[in-house]
Amino acid sequence: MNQADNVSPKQIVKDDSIVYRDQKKRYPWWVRSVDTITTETDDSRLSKPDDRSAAAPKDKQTQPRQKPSWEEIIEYTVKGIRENIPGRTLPDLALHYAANTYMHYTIGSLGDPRMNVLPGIGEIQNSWKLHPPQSLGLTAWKAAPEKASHIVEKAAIQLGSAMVGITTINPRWLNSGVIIDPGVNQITNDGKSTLIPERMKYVICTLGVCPPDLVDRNLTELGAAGDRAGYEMTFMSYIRMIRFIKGLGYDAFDLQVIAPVIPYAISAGLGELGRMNRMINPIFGGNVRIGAVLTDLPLAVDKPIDFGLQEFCLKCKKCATSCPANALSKADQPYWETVDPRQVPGKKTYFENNRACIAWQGNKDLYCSTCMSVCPWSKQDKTSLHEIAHIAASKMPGLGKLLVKLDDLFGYGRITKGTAINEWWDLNNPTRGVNSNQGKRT
Amino acid sequence: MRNYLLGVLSGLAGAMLYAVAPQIAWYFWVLFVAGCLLIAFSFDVFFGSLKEHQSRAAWLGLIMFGGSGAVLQAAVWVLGT
Repeated sequence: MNQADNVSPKQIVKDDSIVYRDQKKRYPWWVRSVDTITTETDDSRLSKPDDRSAAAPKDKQTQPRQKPSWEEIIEYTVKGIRENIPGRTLPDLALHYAANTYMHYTIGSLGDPRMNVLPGIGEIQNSWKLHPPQSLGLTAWKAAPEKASHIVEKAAIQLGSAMVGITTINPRWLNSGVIIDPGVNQITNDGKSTLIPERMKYVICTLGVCPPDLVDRNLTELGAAGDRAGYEMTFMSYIRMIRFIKGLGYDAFDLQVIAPVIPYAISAGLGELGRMNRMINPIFGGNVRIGAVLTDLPLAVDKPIDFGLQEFCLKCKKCATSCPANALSKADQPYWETVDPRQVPGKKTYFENNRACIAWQGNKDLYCSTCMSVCPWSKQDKTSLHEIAHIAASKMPGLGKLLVKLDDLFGYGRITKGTAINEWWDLNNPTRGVNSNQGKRT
Repeated sequence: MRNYLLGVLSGLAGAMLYAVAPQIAWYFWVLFVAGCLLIAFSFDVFFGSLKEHQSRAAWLGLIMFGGSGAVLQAAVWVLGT
């Protein structure tokens, strides 16, 4: 025991500079706040093992510790997979590894000495080495495409995605220099082109959601935080998905490196293309960000959707009139002609002045998502009024203008201004600002 | 809990209406049910919008839907009984 750590009770001095928070707001009425912890303690019995040395942790146990060998861990793992033991199948293991993604890349890989304090923990934390299953002499996981899609969706939701859509790769929707090549078996970059093997044809699209109470405070640092939070949610979920797919024994690749993701998300039925030339989702509206994983895991795919957005956007124009950069089109009809040489023609939409949008954000040094947060489809789900309005907008397109007027009347789609901006710090919000149950069908 | 209480109150109001005017015309019952639904909906909009931090929508919804429901109830109780 380190003598310096053994502080007698008489030496503990009450610190009058400590300020306590209002404890009444933390729990329901039946939880009492008290001055000392309810566990009885005796400082004279206090002693701490010295765990600062990874090389020689002091073992005070009376019996020798049984440390599993690496071979025993592998044997245990393989047995669970081969015998399909509940909770130890390959999808279960793949989910475990995927859920450990960020821990692995920080604590696990940096040789943190805490990993060696309890023998066995280090092996578990570092057991990313156990995948892909082929390295254990196992084959890749096999299932019918429908079952595979179900497992993928369940894993994606657990790993942080709000929704999932599945589609197939489209040679028209690849960046310049990216080619699907039947002659290669791995993704290959020869300096001029990126060649994609034909077997990698399924695209899993994940959806992150921007916290609505933050993006309502657009044009401020809080609004920018909301915009970034949506991207973080997306990024974390699809990076984890890549590990999950690899844990099943298949190839997985970040599609955004080689292709735009919006057309894939639309093709996968996650939304329609709206006036702002971005995807609008029928549940979360425009407050969404998209991730996509290219894989060779055979999957059942989704179809595109139609929830009446094309008709609605003809009449609404709320995003265009709210855009602080005046970058969005107020045209009465979509058109084929691009307005910037970097835009890709071949779709009839409201091509926007992208440079004005980027320049405005750059000049303010702020990420802007005004168009997405003012969209009448960008709603939470705490009142059924929104579902009624969405049904009306979807099935009765003639009511479009009236619904937009009602949206304005009820005060929706307004960017928070003035002192109300700071009220965010007093709001009661869910974890990460997003209701993870929104849109879930029971 | 809120929906449960609204349902109980609606049931009690209906029982009271029947007790006061058992021979009331059928179309008053339609108005009564419509009024109950509108009032219940106004509570959904009010409390839901407050949870979404949309106070303007909350009060407007309460006035619009709750007010309409109150008007229908008034018509039933004044004209029907």
